[in-house]
Amino acid sequence: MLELTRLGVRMGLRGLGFRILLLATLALLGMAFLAGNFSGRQQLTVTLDVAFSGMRVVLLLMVLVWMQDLLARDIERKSVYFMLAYPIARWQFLLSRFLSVAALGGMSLLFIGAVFWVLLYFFGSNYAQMRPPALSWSYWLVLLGMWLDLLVVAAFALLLATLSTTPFLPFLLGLAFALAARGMGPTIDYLRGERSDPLHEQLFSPLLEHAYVWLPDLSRLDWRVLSLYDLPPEPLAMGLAALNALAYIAALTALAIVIFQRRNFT
Amino acid sequence: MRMLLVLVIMLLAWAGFAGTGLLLRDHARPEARAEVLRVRMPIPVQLTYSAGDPFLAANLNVFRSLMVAASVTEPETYRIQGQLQADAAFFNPRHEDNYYVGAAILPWNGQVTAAQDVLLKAAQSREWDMWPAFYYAFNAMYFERDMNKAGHWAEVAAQRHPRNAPALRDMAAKWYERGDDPETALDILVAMHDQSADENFRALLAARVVRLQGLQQLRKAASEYRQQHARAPSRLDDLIGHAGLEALPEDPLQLGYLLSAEGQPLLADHVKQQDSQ
Repeated sequence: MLELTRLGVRMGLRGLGFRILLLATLALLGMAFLAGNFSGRQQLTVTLDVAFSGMRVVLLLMVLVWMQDLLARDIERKSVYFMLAYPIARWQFLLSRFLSVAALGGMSLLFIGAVFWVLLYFFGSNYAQMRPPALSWSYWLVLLGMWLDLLVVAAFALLLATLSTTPFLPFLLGLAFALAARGMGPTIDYLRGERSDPLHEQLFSPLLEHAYVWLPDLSRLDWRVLSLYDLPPEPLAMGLAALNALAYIAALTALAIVIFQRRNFT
Repeated sequence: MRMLLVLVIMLLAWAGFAGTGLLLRDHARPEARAEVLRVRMPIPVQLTYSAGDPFLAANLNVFRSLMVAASVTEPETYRIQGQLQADAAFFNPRHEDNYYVGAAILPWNGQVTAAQDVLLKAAQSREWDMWPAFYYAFNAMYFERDMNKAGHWAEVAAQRHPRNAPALRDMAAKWYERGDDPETALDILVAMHDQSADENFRALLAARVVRLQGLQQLRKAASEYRQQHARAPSRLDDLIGHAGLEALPEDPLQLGYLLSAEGQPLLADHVKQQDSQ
């Protein structure tokens, strides 16, 4: 299975993905540095903030593209027959694909994160901020949270890939899922707040307040305030969020394996 | 022959192109005023176009607010800017540019509620930063005239900045005193006096306490005067002999007391300041 995972990673790197990643990284860094110039009093913080937002979007797209490339396309082109002809169980194949995407996502995150860290560290603004962003361990903790966030989306795309006959379904629904899961937390906060429309609250609150049973709140994995404002971590909340994400990933992957075992490829 | 036809068509097309270009060159453009603000989407829509990322949504709102040129003085733009900044504060209450721009622009252009919303969220979440608390206190004093709130947040600001603390505490004391309820102000001033270690400041607070006690005596006398004579006093001297008042109280700060038009005793400097505002 490890061998298969390694093969998957190599396939991902050889594909279009890696070149897109390089280009996207460059564009992202430029954008973040330009955005930082909008800020009057906290250039470095805004640069970092926009970069984190950009990383989340770019890597989300990358992970979905890889999932589409490595699994959904195999199923569509029927090359999955050949894969399954090898002496491995179906679940091993599926899991190794998930691990490949996870490894690819983690590697690209580390790559972008490291490039950006170096740039910020050496060429960041020299304006003396009241509280400059923390670029030590908290920066890497933010990246870890982002990786977990990506894994959740990857697990969802994996499940859809086992169900669907077209490779675009996991990609498009994966995007919609990520949008919903990332925006859910702030939306609930808004509905509970004093500025919400009572009609909206009546309509959406019953749905959203119980969404925790099927939709993970990915905004809880966004730990960027630790780095942006140099705040101390909240181990309980962060640990719970990580557990929540891991449990969701386990549930979805298990379901995907069950479906894939029973799937009839015709 | 066919070649000639193509050439003629080409020439005609080019003439049409150049001619319309010439006409367009000096044609007046529709008035493009990119710097005014007109649109503010509901929060769920803002979240959607920011890919579900509240921090990005906050940044986008702040960038839009920053793009408003100083020459724009139109109320609608300020109203929209107030809403954009309040939304940004909802998405990311710690955003430094957001509260800074908010404090500098919004309340002075009629958007006091939005400014106070932004500043309160910043003051509550930026525990290392005295400025949002201070601006919030100042706006409470100057625009909302809520002296107790102003005093409380000036005190919070003082706790966050040891170097500016004496000046901020002094301000807090003044603002508490200017609240129209001498009882509350007295309680707070006495508490501040007891907690303060700075001798100078303690002396000043003690003077302010004595002054407020004088105001309290005058008010008691005035209410007794009203009960006895069924009208308001017209001069401060009228109050002597009521509610045990033997002489007019001395003001240790030498600013004195006044009677308002309704016959209510007030601190003299506050009447002047309120007029000038």
